[in-house]
Amino acid sequence: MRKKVMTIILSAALAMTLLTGCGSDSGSAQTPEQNTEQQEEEPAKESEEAPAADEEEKEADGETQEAKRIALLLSGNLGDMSFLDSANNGTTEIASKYGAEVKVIEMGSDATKYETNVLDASDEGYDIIIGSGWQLQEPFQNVAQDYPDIKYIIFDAAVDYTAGDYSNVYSISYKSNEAAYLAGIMAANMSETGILGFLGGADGAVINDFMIGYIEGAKSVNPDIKVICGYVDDYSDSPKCKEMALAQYNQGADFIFTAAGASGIGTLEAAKETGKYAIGVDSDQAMLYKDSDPAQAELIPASVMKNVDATLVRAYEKILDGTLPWGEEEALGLSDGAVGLSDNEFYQRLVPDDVKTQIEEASEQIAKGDISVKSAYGLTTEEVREIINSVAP
Amino acid sequence: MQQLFDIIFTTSFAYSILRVSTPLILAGMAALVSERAGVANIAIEGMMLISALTGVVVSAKTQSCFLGVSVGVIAGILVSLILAYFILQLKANNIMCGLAINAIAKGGTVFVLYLLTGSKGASTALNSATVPKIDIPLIKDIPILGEIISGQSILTYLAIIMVALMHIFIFKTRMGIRISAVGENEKAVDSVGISVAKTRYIALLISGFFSGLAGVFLSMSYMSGFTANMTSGRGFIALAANSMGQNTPWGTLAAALIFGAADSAANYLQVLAVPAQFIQMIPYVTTILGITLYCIYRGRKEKKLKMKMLSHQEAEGQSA
Repeated sequence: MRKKVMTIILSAALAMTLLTGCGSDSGSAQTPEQNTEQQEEEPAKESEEAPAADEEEKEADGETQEAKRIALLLSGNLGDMSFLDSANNGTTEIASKYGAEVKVIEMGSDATKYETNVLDASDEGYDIIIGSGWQLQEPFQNVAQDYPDIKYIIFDAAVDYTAGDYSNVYSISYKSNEAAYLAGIMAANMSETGILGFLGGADGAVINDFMIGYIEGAKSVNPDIKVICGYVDDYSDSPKCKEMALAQYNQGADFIFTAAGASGIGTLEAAKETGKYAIGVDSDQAMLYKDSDPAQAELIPASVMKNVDATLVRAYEKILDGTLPWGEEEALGLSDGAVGLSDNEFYQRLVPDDVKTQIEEASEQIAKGDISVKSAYGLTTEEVREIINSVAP
Repeated sequence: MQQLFDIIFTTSFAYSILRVSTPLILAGMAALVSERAGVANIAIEGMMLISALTGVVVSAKTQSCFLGVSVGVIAGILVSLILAYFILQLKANNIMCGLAINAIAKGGTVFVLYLLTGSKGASTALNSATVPKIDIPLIKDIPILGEIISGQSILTYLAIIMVALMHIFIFKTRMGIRISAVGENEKAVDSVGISVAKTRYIALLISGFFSGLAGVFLSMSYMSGFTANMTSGRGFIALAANSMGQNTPWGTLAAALIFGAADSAANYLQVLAVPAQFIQMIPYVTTILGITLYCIYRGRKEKKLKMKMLSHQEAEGQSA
């Protein structure tokens, strides 16, 4: 019997590691397909490589620019209705507006393949390779130096410029704290209980950046505001997220800002169950429910958005102007339109006018630099804890 | 400390324990019946996912909650039929088959979701039905207890009724005893002319039924829609609950409630100014403690039994 118990536990553990290792199978199922696609295209591309090299020479000479070949490498799959889809929108716009040739490569969630994919794309002679998120930071760092003629762009992450010569890599990071600050202003103004909630996906700088901005914004309205902070510790466990959100609502929170990927759907549902408000993240989440469940959408006055598409188009335009700062990290915020609060019919209807003007004013002040919002990047764990404790109920 | 008690001794906390435990109870029953028949069914997780999605899709298309639940459960049974065919007919390794089903379910549900809604994350575009919550007459008027027990989902009550039925089935019916017998010693069962394969088939189908209910509960009651990989390991925790419950229905129920309580506690304690990692540890520490205590208990029992047998033999020797 004891053996049996052990067998079960061990096999369960094994299965768990296997499953987490595989990540989402939709991803791994699609990647081989794409790999073969790439291989099929290879012969065609070899012949194109020569003109591509010519093109770069021309560039160096400062002659007229020709259409560029861009590869967009996604650390996941399209259809996430948020981050990656937004990047795809950006490159689609670049393709239609400026006639660039864009190839989107969905790499699935098996991170071990990412570097190989970056290498493949580099070998195929793309002019610009764009990569999404921190998952591509290391692959870019390992590959970019060997291909000095190719330009690399990474968004929502930055390569470590002190680690080597990355003069051909441009990094875009987002000041999500600035948009979250506005969400904090909105929530603190509209809250009746004086208690807000925050649910993050995991305890890390990317998520804490949202949290700290949100707390600062709320405090700017009401210094005595209380914020209950929690982490789901899972980006797909929506039932658990719902349970945690219900716990926060039960303890008096009447606004919860959730930055937890697909888990966050749980927060939105908890809002509907209790009739309280939730703030979405990354994309305009009220729109997810607009047709299927309007009552749910009514409880999402705003979402904190990362406008990946706008920043990619901006980067491409700067490449054409020749003003893009290669070899640097640029942190883009409200002033660049890189982040912001979603503005839709629900925002217009649910948020009182004086709060709207307050948000606009704060937004202008942040853009001008009159208000500087604290960021989680560079803070130690203790400092983050201190901020959480300062608003704990 | 005062704050801790204020949080733990609330009716909403106790109420949430039942809700959090329900999928574990149902999946625990699925683990129990297959384990009794001697087939470790690690595919519960995958069956739950498939049923969860099927229930949502069918209820969205038909606008009938009952149809959604039934077809979702049938989907669970069908998948268990496939699993049983591979394990029993083709004699494939049950762990490998289970892993395969879990992998197919994890990717396949996202694929189907994408085909139907264009989203790979959640079924928010589908207007699916949810299983209603019901108030129990009389009990709902009892002060504290009523608030905790009444007003739960129909499936939660069904889960607890199922535990009682399972107890009767396993220990009191011919089929139930046969299932246990097959798990204990299949050769002995075979020698008296009972088909081992048929008995295991039935056990696995029942396992599929409970997995299906657990999955449908997640997507149609706990949540009102499907999100990718929403089971998040609950099918595996159910296996652990079943081992801790010593393969008995009431034991598994108790273990599932303990896990549920630990999970709820972790959810509620986030308000305290304790590091989140410490709180996230609670369910796992409870699991390890539970299994350790159980092993100590078993070890002692076995030792006692051995001593008894020894002294018995000695007594016999002396009398001889």
